[in-house]
Amino acid sequence: MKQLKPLLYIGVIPSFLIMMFLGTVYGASVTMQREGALRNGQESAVTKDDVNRDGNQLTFSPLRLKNISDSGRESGADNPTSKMERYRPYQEGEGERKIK
Amino acid sequence: MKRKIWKGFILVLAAAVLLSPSGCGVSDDGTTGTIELNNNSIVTIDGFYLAPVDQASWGPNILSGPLFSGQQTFIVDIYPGYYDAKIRAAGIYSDYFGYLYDIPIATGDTVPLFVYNSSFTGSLEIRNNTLNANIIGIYVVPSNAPTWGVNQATSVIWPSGLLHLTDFASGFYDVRVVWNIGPDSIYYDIRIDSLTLTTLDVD
Repeated sequence: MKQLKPLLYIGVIPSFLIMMFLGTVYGASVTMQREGALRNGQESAVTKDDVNRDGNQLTFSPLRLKNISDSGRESGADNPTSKMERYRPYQEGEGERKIK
Repeated sequence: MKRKIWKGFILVLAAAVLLSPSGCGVSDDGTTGTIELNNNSIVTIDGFYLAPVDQASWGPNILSGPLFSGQQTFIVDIYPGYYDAKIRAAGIYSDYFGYLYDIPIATGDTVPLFVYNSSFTGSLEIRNNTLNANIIGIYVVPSNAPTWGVNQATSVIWPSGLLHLTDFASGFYDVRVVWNIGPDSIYYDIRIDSLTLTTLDVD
C-alpha cells in the first residue's frame, strides 16, 4: 500500500488535473492564423498609426449594423470547392436557450 | 508686350488646370462630393461598396483596382446625401470586411475615410475531424448571448469536411456543434480577432 501511494500522487492526480483542465476544450483544438504576421516592419508602422489616430476620423469598423444584402461578387465565389459563408449575426433571444 | 502678357496668362491658366484636383483625378465640379479612402491597414483592399443609406443592396465593387497597404484613392462624382460603405480584403487565410454607416457627402466636399487593422472582421473555420460522424448543425453566438441563435450550417458537414464562416466582429464566441450521432459538442469562449482566421478542429 505504501508503494502505491507515490504512484497515486505521480500518476493519478496529475491525470485527473489534466482532464479537468482540458474539460472546456475536450475533443477540439483551436488555432489562430493572423494575416500579415510575417510582415513585421510594415505592421509596426501601421500599428503606430492605428494607436495615434484622431477620434473624429471616419473609420471603418468590423460591426455590421445593417442587414444589407450583397450583390457584389465576393472573392472565392468562383471556386466551387470553397465553403465560405457569411456569418448570420446573432439576434437577441433567437434559438434554443443556452444551459451552461 | 500685350502678346507676351496674353501668352503668360494662357500658360498660367493651363498650369492651373493641370494642377487642379480634377487634373489629378479628383472631380470638383461643385455639384458632387468625393471620398478619399485611406488604407492604413496591412492588407490589400480589393472591394469598396457604397450605397445610399436607404438602399437594400451594396451594389457592385467600385474600386478600379486593389488598394495596397499605405495607399489612398479618391472616389469621385458622389451625389450629396448619406451613404453606407463596406470594404473587403482578401487575405491569405480568409476574406475580411469593414463597415461604416451614415457618411455625409456634401457638395464640393472631400470626405476622408480611414481603414485600420482593427477595422476588419475575423473568420472562423470549423473542421469535422471525425471518421464517421456528420455535423448537422453549427451554432455560433457571442459568449454573453443567452440563446444559441440560428444554425449557421446550410448543409451537412461530412467527415473531413469544413465550414468557413466570415464576417465576425472581434470578440469571444460560444460554439455548439450538433452531430447526427452522439451528444452535442460545446466550446466556450472561442476568440475571433480582426484579420484572423480561428480554426476549430472538432471530433
